[in-house]
Parts: sequence; C-alpha cells; structure tokens
Amino acid sequence: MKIAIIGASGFVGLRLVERLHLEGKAEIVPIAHAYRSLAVLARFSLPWKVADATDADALAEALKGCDAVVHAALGDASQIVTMAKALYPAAQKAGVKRIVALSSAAVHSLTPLPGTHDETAPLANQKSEYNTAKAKAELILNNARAQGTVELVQLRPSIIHGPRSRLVADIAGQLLAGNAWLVGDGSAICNAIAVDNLVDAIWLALTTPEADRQTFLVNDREVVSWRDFYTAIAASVGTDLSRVHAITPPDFKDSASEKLARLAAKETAMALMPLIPRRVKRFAKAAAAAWPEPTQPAGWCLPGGPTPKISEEMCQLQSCRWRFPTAKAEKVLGFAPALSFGDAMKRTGAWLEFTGIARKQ
Amino acid sequence: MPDHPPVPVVVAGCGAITKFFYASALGWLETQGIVRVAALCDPNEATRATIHSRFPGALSLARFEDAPLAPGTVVVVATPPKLHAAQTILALQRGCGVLCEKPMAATLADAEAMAAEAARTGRPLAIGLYRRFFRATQAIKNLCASQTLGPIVSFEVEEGGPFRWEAASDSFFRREITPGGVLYDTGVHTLDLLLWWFGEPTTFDYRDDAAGGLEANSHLQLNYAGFSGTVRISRDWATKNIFRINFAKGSVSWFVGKAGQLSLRVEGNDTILNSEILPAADDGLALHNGRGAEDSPQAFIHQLINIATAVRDGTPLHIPANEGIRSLRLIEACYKNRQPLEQPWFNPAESAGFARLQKGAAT
Repeated sequence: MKIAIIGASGFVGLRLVERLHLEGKAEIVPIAHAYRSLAVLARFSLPWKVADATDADALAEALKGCDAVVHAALGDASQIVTMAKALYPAAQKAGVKRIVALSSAAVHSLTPLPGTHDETAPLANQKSEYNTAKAKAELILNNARAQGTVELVQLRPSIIHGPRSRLVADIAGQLLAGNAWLVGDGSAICNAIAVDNLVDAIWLALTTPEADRQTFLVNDREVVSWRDFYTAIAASVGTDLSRVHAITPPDFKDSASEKLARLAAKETAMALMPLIPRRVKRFAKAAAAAWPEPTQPAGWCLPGGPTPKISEEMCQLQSCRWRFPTAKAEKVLGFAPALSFGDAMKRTGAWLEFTGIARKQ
Repeated sequence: MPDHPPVPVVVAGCGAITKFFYASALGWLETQGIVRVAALCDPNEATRATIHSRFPGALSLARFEDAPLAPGTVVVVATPPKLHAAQTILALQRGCGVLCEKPMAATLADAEAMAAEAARTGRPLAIGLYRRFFRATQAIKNLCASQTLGPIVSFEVEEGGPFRWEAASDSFFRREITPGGVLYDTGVHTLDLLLWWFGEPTTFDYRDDAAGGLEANSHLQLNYAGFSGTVRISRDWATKNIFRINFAKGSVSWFVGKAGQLSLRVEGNDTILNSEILPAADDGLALHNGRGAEDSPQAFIHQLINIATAVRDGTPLHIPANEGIRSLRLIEACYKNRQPLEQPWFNPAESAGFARLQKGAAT
C-alpha cells in the first residue's frame, strides 16, 4: 500500500513515517508544507512532496498514485477548515481510496461532560476557535464523504505523548526548573494516548474495511491521572513532584480578545492537542524565545523562587473528570493499545535523555 | 577613511547567507571605504536583484564567469558547496583572493584541490569559519594553550535545533546533491573550533541517524591523549547550544552565538563568573562607558577585513585553506566510519529496519 502523509514533519506525522517506513509496512510519500520541514524527514530516502494542504489542486497532484492518505497537518482555525475543504476533493481527484483524518477529542471540549459515552455525544458548545474548527472540519469531511467515493475514517485522540512531544518536553523543563504545577492534587483524568498507540490506531483505520464513515475516540488502555502523567515525566528526568505547585485555578475573566492573546502566548498551547493553530505556534515561539532570559531581582527585595505560569486551557484539561470511551475503536477497529502507559513513558524518557533535556548542565 | 582605494569585491551567490550576513557587513565596509562591491553573481534574477538594490553601483551578473576577476579583487564564494571548488580555483587563477563560505567544498578532494591551487598561485584563500574571530573562542583557545585552569579533563558539546533556514528547494536535503546532513552543515563549525582548540583526535566514534538520506542527529566521541569529549549535533530538536570544557582547576562554558561572552567556574568556588570579553588594554572602560563586547556581526566584518588586507598587502590570513580543510577531513572520516545511532524509542522492528537501511546506503 502506498500512503501519503500530510503533515509528515510534525510530531505525529514524523512518528508515523518512522514506524511505517522502518517496519516496512507500506510505501510512504511524506507531504510537507515547506522545504525546511524536510530536514528531519530527509534521514530517509523517500519520494517526499512539498504542497500547500489548503490548495486542492496542489494536494491532488501530490497525492497522485497513492492508495491512502493520512491527514496529520497542523494549522490555525481557518487553515483547519480550509484544509478539510481541500482534502476530500483532492483525494477524489487523485484516485485515493481512503482518507484517515486526525481530528481531536477537543471537539467534545477540554472538560467533557459526564455522559460523553461515545462518539455520537453532542459536540460541546465551544468557546475555543480551535475546537470549533476541529468540529467543523469533521463535519465538512463527513458531508463530502456522503457525496463522494473516497472512504473516510476520522480519529479523535486527546493528549498525545511520546518522543518529540512538545508537551512532554515542556513539562520536563518545568519540573527541572521548579515551576511545574498541577490543579489541586492532580487527580483529574488525563486522556493520554502514546503516539505509538495512535500510530497503531491509524494503521487499523487504514486497513479495516468496516471503518469507513466512522469516527473513533482513542486512548491508552490505562486510566491515567495528571499526577500519574507528571510523575512519569519527573522520573524520566531524575526528579519528583516535591517541587510541583498545587494550584487552584484562578478566575479567568479576560475579554475574548485577551483570552485569545493569552492562549496564543502559551508555549503549552501548541503541545496540548494533536493539531494546534500555526498562528498560536508563532506567538508561542516568540514568547518561548523570551522565556529563558534570566530576570534581574527588582530593587529592595530578594529574588523569589520559580513562579508557575498558569494557563486557562491547561487548567481546563486538568479539571477533566471524564475518560473518553474507546469501546467503538476496540469493537470496529480491533484497537487494543499495545504499549502500556508505563512502557510508553520509558520510551519517552529515553528520548528525553537522547535530546539532552534530561541532562542537567 | 583609509589612505588606499577600496578593495573591489565580487560576490558569487546571492542566497540566504549573502542576504542575511555578507550584504550588511559589506555595506558597512563600503561606508568606511575599505571595500567596494564590484559585482553580484547569481543565476536567479530575483535573488540577485534583492542584493543589488543595496549595491546599485555593482554589476549584476547571472554567470560568475563573466565577473571582473582581476588581480587585487576579493571574491566571496557564497554558492552551494558543490560549486565552491570550480569558482574558487577560477578566481585564484585570475589572481584574486577568495573568502570561501563553509563548508569549504563538497568533498575533501575538492578542498585539497582548492588549497593546492592557492599554494600554487600564491593567492590568499580564506575559509568562512568566522567563529574563530569571536573573542570568546579566542579566549578558550588561550586557556587551552596556557593551561591557566590546568590541563583539559573532558568536554561536552551540544549544538543545533530545528531547521529554520528558508530553503528555496529541497536540494539541501537530497543526498545526491548535498554530501552530508547536520554534521556537514552545522558540524563543520563545531568541529573546526574543537580542532583549533585541541588538535586532531587520536581516535573517534561517530554515529548518526541517516537511513538512506542525510542525518538529522550526529553523536561523536573524540578521544585525545589524556582526555575525551562528546559532541551532539541536531537539526531535529532544540539543544542547549553549549560548549563546556572541564579543566583540572575549573570549567568554561560558551553558548553558541555569544561571540563576546563566556561563563567561567573556578574549582573551589560555588559561583559562576558570567563575563563579557574585552581587550585587556581596555581595562573595562568600554563596559563602564556603556559599550558591550563585540558580537557576531563584528566577527563577520573582521573576517572580511582580514581577506581584504591579505589581498592588498599580504597580511596573513586568520583561517587559511589548510586550516579550513581540517574539519572537512574529520567529517569525511566520520562518514566513512559511520555507525548506527541508537534511537531508544524505536521498537525492535524499527531498529532492524534502520540498521538495514543505513548499511544499505553505505554499500
């Protein structure tokens, strides 16, 4: 099978390329949005393409000759919708048989209501432009499927962790710096999925005939709390949670524009979900660039300890009391996460060591 | 203003390195009457026009061969590495001095031919390893030589980060066009400094993650008589961008890009001295008067002044061809002795596939 991967240089896309290519499971055609994005993909001799995923004609050209396409590209709210509009006609024109699109569990909101028993649960009334865009993109693709012949499967992962996860790297950095924080005792549910388990789910979505026209929530097999998540990362970098601040979420009363600006400024924002707006990423990068600069102690006081930077979206995630169900993925796809949370975190820890994040200098 | 006419400069290649570095440095040197940009050469008209707008008096040429390559001219070779040898050799044969961007050439054989031509013609050939002009790297060189902090015990280097350079095509990432990945691109600077400070290693161990393509991560251990060190270079993930050298009586840390700053820790002290490096003759007055240490742009300017004065009056080059070639020689040796880099997040099937692909690419 020849599989195109849109967003092949991103966190999920790159891992998918590694797995499928190195395991010899399929012929891979990575599709990136810019030449510079080929830097890590170029480790492999692959017939990569550079194409704008919002341009149906350009995308159709890049997809020619492929049996299936996995859509794992990032974008801002507008791009998420535009990419969804371009994807289906491009695949149809190129003669692709199946699309597997990565949506997000964020369509149910960051704090899903109890009663979100399956994928048919009504999508929450979203304040977030990003979450709304993800829901719209799903709808656009489903409507296109109703009129077209290209098969369609959509997956809704939530907190993806693993090698090259920016979220994991950020938390590791915060734990080492002493400014990590948890809402309360960290007992809220972290709907985690290891990137390798997600890759397995994507493979099943590509190869299971009955999956056409279906949407699936996917998670790791264990129920994991945020405290568990932080504890595992802390162990990877040789520390513990003794310096983690237990916080009560402040009352976020910003105006809509202030909220957007604050969201855009957070480095964590881009790491939280599988698909994060590029615009947010740009703002966040600017903020991150300034972040490591040491601050001078102000006059007539002693310098304080590390201060946690609290974000509304992370507070919402850490207030989640509902585990997304995966019964449908288990039944239709035969999805059974191969990697336990503990083993997945060991791999992530090895990656943290590999990158040097786990080594103090 | 100097009491001699400005040295004419021909720029071969108007891509990113010229746009972001050479144009600004040459622009300032023109205002000082030190150089005059005579010609800009690039087959891409739009790229060339961007630079030409800053030097309207210069010739704008599609072909380097049409440039006014006369004795007494400096040629800045800032084209893709595969063109360096032919353009440099032509310029030397016409009597020009050459400042050739790093990496010096696509292959060691090309670099050796360039150095041989410079020796044969007696014309100066400088290599753009401009970090050697940094006060910080010069201070480390002095510490290594003087052993002020005792002998070297070990060193660690981490350099690189996600690739941000605006590539205009994928040629930079194609193995059939570009001879190496991050070691060849970024590592040429890294290894040049280590070779300059410590000399050639007695043995080394090199591993990277290329599996049929160009490496994004390189891990190198360099062994010397009495000490060894590690080098990790990446275009995959943000590194700390730090060089740390541990001496018997202290350690020095240098952050890449901080041309005029060093951190110094002396054994027995529980504090670190974060210093700006100034000439001793200055006695700190520059800082007192609100002027900081020189930074990367000044190093770039010094590099151009060095080649211009070498062409004009024979001033010795700071980084002549026989110095510039050293890192290329080590890089080529690394590639010849490449071993698979363990990527500990791979499952057994992936590891096997990776080893097979890397081995297949080598044969």
